Amino acid sequence: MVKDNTTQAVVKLNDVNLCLNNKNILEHISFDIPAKQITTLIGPNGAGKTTLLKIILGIVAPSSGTVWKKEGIKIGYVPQKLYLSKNIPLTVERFLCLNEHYNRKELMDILEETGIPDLLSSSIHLLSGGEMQRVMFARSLLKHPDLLVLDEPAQGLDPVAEEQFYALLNRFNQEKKCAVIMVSHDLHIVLSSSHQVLCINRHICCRGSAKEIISHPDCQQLFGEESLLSLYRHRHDHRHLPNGDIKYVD
Amino acid sequence: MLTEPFVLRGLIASVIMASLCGPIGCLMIWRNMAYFSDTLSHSALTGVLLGLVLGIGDNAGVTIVVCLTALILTRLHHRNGVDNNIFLLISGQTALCLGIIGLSLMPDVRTDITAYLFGDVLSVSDGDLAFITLIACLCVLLIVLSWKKQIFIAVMPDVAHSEGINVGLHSVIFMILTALFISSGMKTTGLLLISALLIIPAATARFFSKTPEMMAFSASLIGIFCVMTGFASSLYFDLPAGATMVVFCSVLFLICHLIRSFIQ
Repeated sequence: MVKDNTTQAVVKLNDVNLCLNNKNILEHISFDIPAKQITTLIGPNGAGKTTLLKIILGIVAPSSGTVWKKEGIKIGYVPQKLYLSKNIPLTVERFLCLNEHYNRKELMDILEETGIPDLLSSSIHLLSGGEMQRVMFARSLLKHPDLLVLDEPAQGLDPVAEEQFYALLNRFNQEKKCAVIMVSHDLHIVLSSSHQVLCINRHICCRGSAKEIISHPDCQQLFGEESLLSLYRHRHDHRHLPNGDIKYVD
Repeated sequence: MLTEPFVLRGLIASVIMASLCGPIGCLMIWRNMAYFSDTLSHSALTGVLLGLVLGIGDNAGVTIVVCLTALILTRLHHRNGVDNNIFLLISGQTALCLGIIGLSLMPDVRTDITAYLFGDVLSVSDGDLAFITLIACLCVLLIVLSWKKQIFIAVMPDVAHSEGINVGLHSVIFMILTALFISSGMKTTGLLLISALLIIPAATARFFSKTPEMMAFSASLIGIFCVMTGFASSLYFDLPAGATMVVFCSVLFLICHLIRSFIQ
């Protein structure tokens, strides 16, 4: 729960459910994305994190529940993985202008800011993973978004590039005051900078500020010294019964 | 010989079709949907049958059936549990066989199936030419209206959707474009060879293109060149035009591929 009630929300989800082919993908998801803050979704594979982002983006319609967005909100989206056909000849410049046209100065400025000033006329197929990620990021920033939606933005990057990427993200969050919601597995980096962390496993398992999650006795044990693999364990206050019901335990 | 009306009609029809093959073929391979055109063109023989049964002519019959097939395939595309390529192959071949069986059952119509399958460019009539021109104008209109959005969708469909592009609508436009192209190519290259004319020039243009537009434009030029050389071979050496056009496309592809490998 966001403690700071004075913070305005840019997106509010109210009891969002998604059911596909009689399978519950997401259940009773309610939370706010506060302006200017970083919200991080964590959770195991197949928990519905990406689907939740797509609901926020309007790509997937929820079966029930509402998604409220601030009027005139501008959203920048960086998808999980780009399945780019090698058959499309594209330069970085053209890639950045796929939807709207920007002049050369705007493009150069954004590439400068994201640390890839020399790439404007490179072919998109010759970029490294880290460079591609920055190009995608740069593209999502071009329209001065109020909210950035990032789906595992540092996936496949080496540790150095990963750290650089999150440093860049934090800088933008602070300088441009834009809200961020992201799915991330890089908890060791992300937790320190997130204002709000939600652990998703079809429903919201636990939530809180990074501080709260870290100071939580169970979480302390998990996020402290143990290996990264154990990061996904969290306090289980309920069990899933075979019929799909949830039983709360103390 | 070139001034004979039937020769001119055939040449004009081929060139019109080849100029369209660039942008449509490029969209096809950018979306990784090369199989799709095959399925559509195979269904066209059922269209010939429908046209004859209803008495509305083969062009109209083919256009109706191919467009309908395209729309049905879009709906079924993501809904069945079968792998897409397998599904496309099954539906295409089945439609082709239904067309062959249906045509063979019509006793009083002597239809030359070979002309539909492999094309008979010198038999293009005034009516056919008018039909091809009409279809081409429609295609150009659709391409001009949706080109930029089609590229965006081919690159990042989800992001396009999130930025307010109507992905569903533009996918339907793309399917209809392909369907129209196939209907217009039936008389020149024939149903079995038309997807070759769609895919090979675009794949060849990829070797040396730096922008999507350059690729589409070069693919059209390659298409026109191959169609004209194929046409000439048919006139002077009495070779089957459709097949010769496709072979010229393949030879160009091979040459460009070799040059490219040599340079790298």
